[in-house]
Amino acid sequence: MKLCRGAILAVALSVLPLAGCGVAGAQDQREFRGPFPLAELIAAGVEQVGPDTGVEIRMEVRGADGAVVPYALVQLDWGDGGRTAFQSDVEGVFWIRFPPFALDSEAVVSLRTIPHGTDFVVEDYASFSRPLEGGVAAVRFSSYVPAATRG
Amino acid sequence: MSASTRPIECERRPAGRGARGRMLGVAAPLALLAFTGGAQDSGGGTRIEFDLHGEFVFDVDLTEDFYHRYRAGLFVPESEPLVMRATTLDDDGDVIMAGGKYLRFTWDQGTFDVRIDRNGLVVLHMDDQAAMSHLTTVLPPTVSSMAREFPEYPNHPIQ
Repeated sequence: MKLCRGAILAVALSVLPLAGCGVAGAQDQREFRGPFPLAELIAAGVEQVGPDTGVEIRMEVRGADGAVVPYALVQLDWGDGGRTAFQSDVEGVFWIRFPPFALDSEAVVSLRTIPHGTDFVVEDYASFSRPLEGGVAAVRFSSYVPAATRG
Repeated sequence: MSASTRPIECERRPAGRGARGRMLGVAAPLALLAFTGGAQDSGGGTRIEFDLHGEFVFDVDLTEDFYHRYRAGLFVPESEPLVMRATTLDDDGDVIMAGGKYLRFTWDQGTFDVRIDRNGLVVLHMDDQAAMSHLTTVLPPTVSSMAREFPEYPNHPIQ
Protein backbone atom coordinates (compact mmCIF):
# COMPACT_ATOMS: atom_id res chain seq x y z
CA MET A 1 0.00 0.00 0.00
CA LYS A 2 2.84 2.35 0.88
CA LEU A 3 4.46 1.47 -2.39
CA CYS A 4 1.25 2.31 -4.22
CA ARG A 5 0.97 5.71 -2.48
CA GLY A 6 4.57 6.41 -3.31
CA ALA A 7 3.98 5.63 -6.94
CA ILE A 8 0.96 7.91 -7.06
CA LEU A 9 2.94 10.70 -5.41
CA ALA A 10 5.78 10.23 -7.87
CA VAL A 11 3.44 10.38 -10.82
CA ALA A 12 1.74 13.48 -9.42
CA LEU A 13 5.06 15.23 -8.87
CA SER A 14 6.23 14.38 -12.36
CA VAL A 15 3.04 15.65 -13.94
CA LEU A 16 2.93 18.95 -12.05
CA PRO A 17 5.74 20.66 -13.95
CA LEU A 18 4.19 19.61 -17.24
CA ALA A 19 0.84 21.03 -16.19
CA GLY A 20 2.59 24.20 -15.16
CA CYS A 21 4.21 24.53 -18.58
CA GLY A 22 0.86 24.03 -20.24
CA VAL A 23 -0.73 26.83 -18.28
CA ALA A 24 2.20 29.12 -18.94
CA GLY A 25 1.96 28.37 -22.67
CA ALA A 26 -1.73 29.21 -22.71
CA GLN A 27 -1.01 32.48 -20.95
CA ASP A 28 1.70 33.32 -23.48
CA GLN A 29 -0.75 33.00 -26.32
CA ARG A 30 -2.78 36.01 -27.30
CA GLU A 31 -5.77 36.02 -29.57
CA PHE A 32 -6.57 38.79 -32.01
CA ARG A 33 -9.93 38.94 -33.71
CA GLY A 34 -11.07 40.77 -36.77
CA PRO A 35 -9.07 43.58 -38.30
CA PHE A 36 -6.66 44.93 -35.73
CA PRO A 37 -3.88 47.49 -35.84
CA LEU A 38 -0.43 46.10 -36.50
CA ALA A 39 0.87 48.51 -33.88
CA GLU A 40 -1.32 46.76 -31.31
CA LEU A 41 0.17 43.40 -32.26
CA ILE A 42 3.73 44.68 -32.06
CA ALA A 43 3.05 46.49 -28.80
CA ALA A 44 1.77 43.26 -27.28
CA GLY A 45 4.94 41.55 -28.42
CA VAL A 46 7.21 44.27 -27.08
CA GLU A 47 5.38 44.09 -23.78
CA GLN A 48 6.18 40.42 -23.59
CA VAL A 49 9.75 40.23 -24.91
CA GLY A 50 11.02 43.67 -24.00
CA PRO A 51 11.81 46.79 -26.00
CA ASP A 52 15.44 46.10 -26.80
CA THR A 53 15.03 43.08 -28.98
CA GLY A 54 13.21 42.09 -32.12
CA VAL A 55 9.74 40.60 -31.89
CA GLU A 56 9.09 37.29 -33.59
CA ILE A 57 5.42 36.51 -34.08
CA ARG A 58 3.96 33.10 -34.72
CA MET A 59 0.42 33.54 -35.91
CA GLU A 60 -1.92 30.59 -36.25
CA VAL A 61 -5.06 31.35 -38.20
CA ARG A 62 -8.21 29.66 -36.91
CA GLY A 63 -11.78 29.80 -38.05
CA ALA A 64 -14.80 30.61 -35.93
CA ASP A 65 -15.01 26.94 -34.95
CA GLY A 66 -11.46 26.99 -33.66
CA ALA A 67 -10.15 24.81 -36.46
CA VAL A 68 -6.93 25.72 -38.18
CA VAL A 69 -7.41 27.32 -41.60
CA PRO A 70 -4.81 25.98 -44.04
CA TYR A 71 -3.31 28.44 -46.49
CA ALA A 72 -5.10 31.42 -45.00
CA LEU A 73 -4.05 34.92 -45.89
CA VAL A 74 -2.66 37.39 -43.41
CA GLN A 75 -3.42 40.72 -45.01
CA LEU A 76 -1.65 43.94 -44.12
CA ASP A 77 -3.23 47.19 -45.26
CA TRP A 78 -0.57 49.86 -45.22
CA GLY A 79 -2.65 52.92 -46.04
CA ASP A 80 -0.54 54.85 -48.52
CA GLY A 81 1.60 51.77 -49.11
CA GLY A 82 -1.21 49.65 -50.49
CA ARG A 83 -2.03 46.09 -49.56
CA THR A 84 0.11 43.03 -49.01
CA ALA A 85 -1.14 39.59 -48.03
CA PHE A 86 0.97 36.58 -47.21
CA GLN A 87 -0.17 33.00 -47.54
CA SER A 88 0.14 30.92 -44.38
CA ASP A 89 1.33 27.33 -44.52
CA VAL A 90 -0.78 24.19 -44.60
CA GLU A 91 -1.13 24.39 -40.82
CA GLY A 92 -2.44 27.93 -40.99
CA VAL A 93 0.75 29.29 -39.47
CA PHE A 94 2.45 32.47 -40.55
CA TRP A 95 5.64 33.83 -39.03
CA ILE A 96 6.66 37.44 -39.18
CA ARG A 97 9.14 39.41 -37.14
CA PHE A 98 9.97 43.01 -36.62
CA PRO A 99 13.35 44.45 -35.72
CA PRO A 100 13.24 46.97 -32.87
CA PHE A 101 11.73 50.27 -33.97
CA ALA A 102 11.47 48.99 -37.55
CA LEU A 103 7.92 50.09 -38.05
CA ASP A 104 6.01 53.18 -37.20
CA SER A 105 2.99 52.25 -39.18
CA GLU A 106 -0.75 52.51 -39.04
CA ALA A 107 -1.11 49.24 -40.91
CA VAL A 108 -4.12 47.07 -40.20
CA VAL A 109 -3.99 43.28 -40.04
CA SER A 110 -6.89 41.16 -41.22
CA LEU A 111 -7.43 37.49 -41.98
CA ARG A 112 -8.80 36.27 -45.28
CA THR A 113 -9.31 33.04 -47.15
CA ILE A 114 -9.33 31.98 -50.75
CA PRO A 115 -11.38 28.99 -51.94
CA HIS A 116 -9.12 26.13 -52.91
CA GLY A 117 -8.66 25.78 -56.62
CA THR A 118 -9.29 29.46 -57.34
CA ASP A 119 -7.79 30.37 -60.70
CA PHE A 120 -5.78 33.52 -60.13
CA VAL A 121 -5.77 34.45 -63.79
CA VAL A 122 -9.54 34.60 -64.11
CA GLU A 123 -10.43 36.80 -61.14
CA ASP A 124 -8.82 39.50 -59.07
CA TYR A 125 -8.02 39.52 -55.38
CA ALA A 126 -11.03 41.56 -54.34
CA SER A 127 -13.41 39.02 -55.85
CA PHE A 128 -11.77 35.74 -54.91
CA SER A 129 -10.58 36.51 -51.38
CA ARG A 130 -13.03 36.68 -48.50
CA PRO A 131 -12.78 37.89 -44.92
CA LEU A 132 -12.43 35.02 -42.49
CA GLU A 133 -15.64 35.53 -40.55
CA GLY A 134 -15.10 34.97 -36.85
CA GLY A 135 -11.48 34.21 -37.54
CA VAL A 136 -8.88 34.34 -34.82
CA ALA A 137 -5.17 34.90 -34.99
CA ALA A 138 -3.66 32.89 -32.13
CA VAL A 139 -0.36 34.60 -31.56
CA ARG A 140 2.76 33.68 -29.67
CA PHE A 141 5.67 36.05 -29.27
CA SER A 142 9.33 35.40 -28.88
CA SER A 143 12.41 37.56 -29.02
CA TYR A 144 15.23 37.42 -31.49
CA VAL A 145 18.45 39.28 -31.99
CA PRO A 146 18.34 40.99 -35.36
CA ALA A 147 21.31 40.72 -37.68
CA ALA A 148 22.91 43.96 -38.71
CA THR A 149 20.95 45.68 -41.43
CA ARG A 150 22.86 45.73 -44.67
CA GLY A 151 23.41 49.12 -46.16
CA MET B 1 5.69 29.24 -79.08
CA SER B 2 2.09 28.72 -78.13
CA ALA B 3 0.01 31.68 -77.10
CA SER B 4 -0.32 30.34 -73.58
CA THR B 5 3.36 29.96 -73.01
CA ARG B 6 4.91 32.76 -71.10
CA PRO B 7 8.25 33.79 -72.50
CA ILE B 8 11.32 33.62 -70.37
CA GLU B 9 12.36 37.06 -69.32
CA CYS B 10 16.08 37.47 -69.12
CA GLU B 11 16.42 41.16 -69.77
CA ARG B 12 16.25 43.27 -66.67
CA ARG B 13 14.89 46.77 -66.58
CA PRO B 14 17.64 49.35 -67.11
CA ALA B 15 18.62 51.90 -64.54
CA GLY B 16 15.62 54.21 -65.06
CA ARG B 17 13.83 54.10 -61.73
CA GLY B 18 10.62 55.87 -62.60
CA ALA B 19 8.83 58.31 -60.39
CA ARG B 20 10.25 56.89 -57.20
CA GLY B 21 13.71 58.07 -58.16
CA ARG B 22 15.60 55.26 -56.47
CA MET B 23 19.37 55.41 -56.43
CA LEU B 24 21.74 53.68 -58.78
CA GLY B 25 23.02 51.69 -55.83
CA VAL B 26 20.24 49.19 -56.28
CA ALA B 27 20.16 49.34 -60.05
CA ALA B 28 23.80 48.32 -60.38
CA PRO B 29 23.41 45.00 -58.59
CA LEU B 30 20.31 44.35 -60.66
CA ALA B 31 22.25 44.96 -63.82
CA LEU B 32 24.87 42.55 -62.55
CA LEU B 33 22.11 40.06 -61.86
CA ALA B 34 21.18 40.24 -65.53
CA PHE B 35 24.58 38.85 -66.41
CA THR B 36 25.12 36.45 -63.56
CA GLY B 37 21.60 35.15 -63.46
CA GLY B 38 20.05 32.42 -65.48
CA ALA B 39 16.56 31.55 -66.53
CA GLN B 40 14.89 28.30 -67.27
CA ASP B 41 11.50 27.15 -68.37
CA SER B 42 10.18 24.82 -65.73
CA GLY B 43 7.41 23.48 -67.93
CA GLY B 44 4.38 24.89 -66.16
CA GLY B 45 5.59 28.46 -66.40
CA THR B 46 8.62 30.59 -66.15
CA ARG B 47 11.20 30.44 -63.45
CA ILE B 48 13.80 33.11 -63.05
CA GLU B 49 16.64 32.24 -60.79
CA PHE B 50 19.81 33.96 -59.83
CA ASP B 51 22.85 32.57 -58.13
CA LEU B 52 23.23 34.41 -54.89
CA HIS B 53 25.98 32.40 -53.30
CA GLY B 54 28.72 33.71 -51.13
CA GLU B 55 29.20 37.41 -51.04
CA PHE B 56 26.67 38.01 -53.78
CA VAL B 57 23.74 38.52 -51.52
CA PHE B 58 21.60 41.10 -53.19
CA ASP B 59 18.71 43.25 -52.36
CA VAL B 60 16.04 42.41 -54.90
CA ASP B 61 13.70 45.26 -55.73
CA LEU B 62 10.56 43.32 -56.51
CA THR B 63 9.03 46.13 -58.57
CA GLU B 64 12.11 46.25 -60.75
CA ASP B 65 12.16 42.50 -60.89
CA PHE B 66 8.75 41.96 -62.43
CA TYR B 67 8.37 45.32 -64.13
CA HIS B 68 8.68 44.12 -67.73
CA ARG B 69 6.38 41.23 -67.04
CA TYR B 70 3.89 43.59 -65.41
CA ARG B 71 3.99 46.05 -68.28
CA ALA B 72 3.48 43.26 -70.78
CA GLY B 73 0.44 42.00 -68.91
CA LEU B 74 2.17 38.73 -68.10
CA PHE B 75 2.02 39.32 -64.37
CA VAL B 76 -1.03 40.94 -62.82
CA PRO B 77 -0.37 41.69 -59.16
CA GLU B 78 -4.05 42.37 -58.43
CA SER B 79 -4.77 38.76 -59.34
CA GLU B 80 -1.65 36.66 -59.12
CA PRO B 81 0.56 36.29 -56.09
CA LEU B 82 4.27 36.76 -56.34
CA VAL B 83 5.81 33.40 -55.58
CA MET B 84 9.29 33.39 -54.11
CA ARG B 85 11.05 30.09 -53.60
CA ALA B 86 14.24 30.13 -51.58
CA THR B 87 16.89 27.46 -51.44
CA THR B 88 20.05 26.95 -49.52
CA LEU B 89 22.84 24.39 -49.33
CA ASP B 90 23.13 21.66 -46.76
CA ASP B 91 26.38 20.47 -45.24
CA ASP B 92 27.01 18.24 -48.24
CA GLY B 93 26.52 21.08 -50.68
CA ASP B 94 23.17 19.79 -51.88
CA VAL B 95 20.45 22.29 -52.70
CA ILE B 96 17.59 22.15 -50.23
CA MET B 97 14.58 24.34 -49.53
CA ALA B 98 15.40 27.18 -47.17
CA GLY B 99 12.44 26.53 -44.91
CA GLY B 100 12.54 28.24 -41.52
CA LYS B 101 14.82 31.05 -42.61
CA TYR B 102 13.62 34.58 -43.05
CA LEU B 103 13.40 36.97 -45.96
CA ARG B 104 13.57 40.60 -45.05
CA PHE B 105 11.17 43.02 -46.72
CA THR B 106 11.98 46.68 -46.61
CA TRP B 107 10.32 49.72 -48.18
CA ASP B 108 9.20 53.17 -47.28
CA GLN B 109 6.66 51.67 -44.87
CA GLY B 110 9.37 50.10 -42.77
CA THR B 111 11.05 46.73 -42.38
CA PHE B 112 9.82 43.30 -41.47
CA ASP B 113 10.89 39.70 -41.96
CA VAL B 114 8.75 36.83 -43.18
CA ARG B 115 9.60 33.22 -42.50
CA ILE B 116 10.02 30.91 -45.46
CA ASP B 117 7.69 27.92 -45.19
CA ARG B 118 8.85 24.32 -45.25
CA ASN B 119 8.43 24.20 -49.03
CA GLY B 120 10.81 27.13 -49.36
CA LEU B 121 7.98 29.46 -50.29
CA VAL B 122 6.89 32.97 -49.51
CA VAL B 123 3.65 33.74 -51.35
CA LEU B 124 2.78 37.40 -51.53
CA HIS B 125 -0.41 38.95 -52.86
CA MET B 126 -0.17 42.68 -53.58
CA ASP B 127 -2.39 45.35 -54.99
CA ASP B 128 -1.04 47.63 -57.70
CA GLN B 129 -0.05 50.25 -55.19
CA ALA B 130 2.11 47.89 -53.17
CA ALA B 131 3.42 46.27 -56.33
CA MET B 132 4.77 49.60 -57.54
CA SER B 133 6.18 50.58 -54.15
CA HIS B 134 9.64 49.10 -54.68
CA LEU B 135 9.20 46.61 -51.90
CA THR B 136 12.67 45.16 -51.61
CA THR B 137 13.63 41.70 -50.48
CA VAL B 138 16.91 41.21 -48.69
CA LEU B 139 18.28 37.71 -48.67
CA PRO B 140 20.26 36.62 -45.65
CA PRO B 141 23.61 34.95 -46.31
CA THR B 142 22.07 31.63 -45.31
CA VAL B 143 19.76 31.72 -48.31
CA SER B 144 21.75 30.91 -51.41
CA SER B 145 19.12 31.40 -54.04
CA MET B 146 15.68 32.89 -54.46
CA ALA B 147 13.61 32.22 -57.53
CA ARG B 148 10.63 34.25 -58.50
CA GLU B 149 8.17 31.84 -60.04
CA PHE B 150 5.42 32.72 -62.45
CA PRO B 151 3.26 29.63 -62.82
CA GLU B 152 1.39 29.45 -66.07
CA TYR B 153 -1.86 28.43 -64.40
CA PRO B 154 -1.61 29.74 -60.85
CA ASN B 155 -4.32 28.66 -58.49
CA HIS B 156 -4.83 28.54 -54.76
CA PRO B 157 -3.05 27.34 -52.77
CA ILE B 158 0.45 27.84 -54.06
CA GLN B 159 2.47 24.88 -52.80
